[in-house]
Amino acid sequence: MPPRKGHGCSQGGQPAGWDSLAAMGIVAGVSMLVSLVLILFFAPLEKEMGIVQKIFYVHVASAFAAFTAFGLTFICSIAYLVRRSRAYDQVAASSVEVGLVFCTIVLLTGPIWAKAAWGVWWTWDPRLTTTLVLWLIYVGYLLLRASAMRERRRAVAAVYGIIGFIDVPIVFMSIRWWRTIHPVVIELGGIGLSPRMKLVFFITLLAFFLWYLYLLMIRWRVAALEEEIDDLRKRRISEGSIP
Amino acid sequence: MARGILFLILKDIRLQIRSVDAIAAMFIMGLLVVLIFIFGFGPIITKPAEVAGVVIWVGLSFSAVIGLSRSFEVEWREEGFRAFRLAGLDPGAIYLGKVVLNVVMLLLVALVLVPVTLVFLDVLRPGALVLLGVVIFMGVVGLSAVGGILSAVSSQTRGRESLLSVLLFPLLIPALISAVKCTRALLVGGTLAGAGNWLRLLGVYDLIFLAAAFLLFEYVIEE
Repeated sequence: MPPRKGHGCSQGGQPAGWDSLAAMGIVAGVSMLVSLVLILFFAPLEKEMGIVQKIFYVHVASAFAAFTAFGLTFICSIAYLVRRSRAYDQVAASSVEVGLVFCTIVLLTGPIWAKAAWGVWWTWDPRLTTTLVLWLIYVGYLLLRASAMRERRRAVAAVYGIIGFIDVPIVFMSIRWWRTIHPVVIELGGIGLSPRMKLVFFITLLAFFLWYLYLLMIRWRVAALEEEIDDLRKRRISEGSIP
Repeated sequence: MARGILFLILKDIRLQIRSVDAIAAMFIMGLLVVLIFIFGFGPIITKPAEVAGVVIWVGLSFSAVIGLSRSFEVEWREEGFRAFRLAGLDPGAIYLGKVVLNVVMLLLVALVLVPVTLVFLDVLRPGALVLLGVVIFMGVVGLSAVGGILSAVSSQTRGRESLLSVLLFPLLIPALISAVKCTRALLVGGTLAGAGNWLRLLGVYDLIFLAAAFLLFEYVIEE
């Protein structure tokens, strides 16, 4: 049996204050702008696909952000079950919400690119399909949180966050065997991009990561505030000042 | 622990025998799915041996949801978890007990459902039945391993069990793909040749989720 501290567990870490959020927002916003300008005006045109290929930078960077987000949820879910501090639970939940936004971007830009490159909107290739399954798993996570009984929400969400993430590599393997036509951009031997493309790619990757971190920090702050308000309301009710 | 699991299984099986409605509902659900497939695709099924695997596994997973969604109802209603804890039972044992129960129920359903499907589609291959049994067993273990812990999770939501299928099916995708591939290889060629990787993937899936859920189960049912 684990130590049962109930749902009144300690807060643990605190989200960043508004000042650091503003600073982070400026850094993330500027790097997003820079990467956008680089993608549009600096990155060379790809020989065969032309201008459409530029969606690649946004598509892959969003995918990295989404995977990072769900990975963080996995780590925080384990940490929550071990340490029982609210902060881990709040970060896990916030990261799923932000990750789902990036996941949706991947699922929208993927078909646009696929239509131009392969002539079809949707291909059942392993990465796109795995992303779709990921999307379904983490929408399920949010539905679970929304409908789980209050005092059990953190623990059951953490368990689902762990099991869901364990499934991801298995889904990927199974769909890769099932069928594949995705361009293998990242191989063991290095990246099949020109040096300039590579530069823009890594800057976009970094910019999207910073943007993800910024959204995560805001969402965590909001989640912590929500719970604080909840606690205050509960206390007022138990004191009898709110009927 | 083995004795504890055995007691739990016997208790649950006794409960199931006394009220056959659960297994009856599971079986009818599976049969309906099979019929819907055949009604829907009847004339266009030109290669029934290729399709039979899909029909069987969709039928089995729908009927699994029915069985799973009820497997923890009685424990919450009758304070079963508190009793198990007082009796010193390991949470992992409770989980394994429920998995075994669901595997047994699903195998009973499959025992009728699979031959019926094969006869309906006229793809009965007596030579492949033993291997088919192995594939069905492994697939059913995967369904019950993931379903066992997720039904405990979804039994703690306000809608009780309505969330189960939403949580379960995305996670089942690898297991269902592998099980369908193995079943198809057996019904088309009579052997598992060419589906060896899929069988291995199914086995790995079963083991990973049995282990993960075994370890995580105590956090699901703690109070």
